[in-house]
Amino acid sequence: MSDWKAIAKAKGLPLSDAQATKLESVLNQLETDFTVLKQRLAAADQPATVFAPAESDAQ
Amino acid sequence: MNTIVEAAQALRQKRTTSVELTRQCLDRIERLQPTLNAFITVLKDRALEQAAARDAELAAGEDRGSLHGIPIALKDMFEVRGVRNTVGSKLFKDHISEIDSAAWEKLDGAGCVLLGKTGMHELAYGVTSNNPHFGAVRNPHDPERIPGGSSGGSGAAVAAGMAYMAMGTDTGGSIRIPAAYCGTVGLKPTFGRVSTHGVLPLGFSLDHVGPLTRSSRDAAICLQAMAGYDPRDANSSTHFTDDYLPPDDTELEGIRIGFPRNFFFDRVDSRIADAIGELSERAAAQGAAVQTVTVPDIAGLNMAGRVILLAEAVAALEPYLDRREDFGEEVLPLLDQGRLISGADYVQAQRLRRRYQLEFAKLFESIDVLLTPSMPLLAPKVGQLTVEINGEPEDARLASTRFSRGINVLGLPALAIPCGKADGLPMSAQLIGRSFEEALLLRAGAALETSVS
Repeated sequence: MSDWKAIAKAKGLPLSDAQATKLESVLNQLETDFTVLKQRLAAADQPATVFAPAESDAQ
Repeated sequence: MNTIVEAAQALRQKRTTSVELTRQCLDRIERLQPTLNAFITVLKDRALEQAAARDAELAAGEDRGSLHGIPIALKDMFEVRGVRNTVGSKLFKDHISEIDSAAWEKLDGAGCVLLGKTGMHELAYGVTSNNPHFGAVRNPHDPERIPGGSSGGSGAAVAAGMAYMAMGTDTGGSIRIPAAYCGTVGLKPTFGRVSTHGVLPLGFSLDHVGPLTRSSRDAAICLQAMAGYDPRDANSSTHFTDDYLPPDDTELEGIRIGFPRNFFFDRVDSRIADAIGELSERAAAQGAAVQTVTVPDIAGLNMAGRVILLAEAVAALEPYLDRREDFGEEVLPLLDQGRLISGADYVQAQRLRRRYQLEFAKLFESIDVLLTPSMPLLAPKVGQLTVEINGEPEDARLASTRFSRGINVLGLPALAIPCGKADGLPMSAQLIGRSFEEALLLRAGAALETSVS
């Protein structure tokens, strides 16, 4: 599990202890659930957003 | 109050005028605004002037179509030149727009009359419209309850007869949620179908704009006016536009409707579940081929959507993040969460999104429309953070977006339609279709919706 409080501090977020604890709780749950979800990805899975070159770039 | 279709007919039969329709709306706004707080800005003089000009055009034989002379409202994040555009935020409380949003350009061109700008959740980032800077918007069916959000003022205004239509935006359900809680129709078109130019982004790959109306037919008229390619919106689609207006004798013969056996009925107010079940029976009686289907993992889809939105919202609002005191206590923690999402996780969420897109494409090979509840619950009370559904507690925000958020991730069109009431509060069904098949959704909506009262 990530140390969210330390990351928040490193990012310079001016959080009170209560705010940091709430943030940690929400992100811990998100990380737990998202880690399970990411395990479904196969190497060939590409992102939904694909860069589309502008026409002028292609010329 | 009538629908747009009825008002348009009355205008052409000279039974009313645009000025009269506008005055009626303004009267209702004046009477109900103290209770509902549906508007942030009311443009009384401008609206009456505009209505008089629309009447003069009609008298001179210049008819711009069904929206000519119809009084409408815009969520307070659609820019209108010379008009304040707050986005429900202290950051923009004094911002006067210098451009017109694409949606307003089209609606103005179609002859609409602008009544004002509606209240909303701060920065469109939430579902209650309990705004810390402009006050709580309230539900016309019970002012102790939320109208939903983020387009809560638009839902309240249409449901209360303050406007014939109000525009909303939808990044995770913000058109369909207020439509459901207020008992109106709400259309989230396909991603890229209606230009978002002139609307402050929240989630670049999730944002949609669309109408809240009193009928599916009205929604079709509005979509007809706004759909189409706009080079100013990088996500705008060049896909052809359709004839969206459902025929008068709308039937469902030949339409394959999927009725989900999983997820959408797992934790739902039993009265809503019953109403959706009855709706599916009605669809079958009208000739639809209703079949039960297993939908892909919506909880996973929602999770991917949450990660994408947390990151995209921070990117969109980054120039303002150091003004922490200008954000409300609900939005600021979401931005803080977003600042800690890694770039890799954002990409992983986009990779998951692609997987789900393919899985849903497979599902839509066997059905034309997916019928679900719009919401698992009736409108919660103002300030209620936790709701209880069939005895189980759940975060009110996550419960309200449970059936809607994932559809934004897929970019599919979705229509919320009223389907009765429980305890005096509206219940709503959601119809989801294939990309760019709004015409089919609106046809099904017209056949199945109950009237807005």
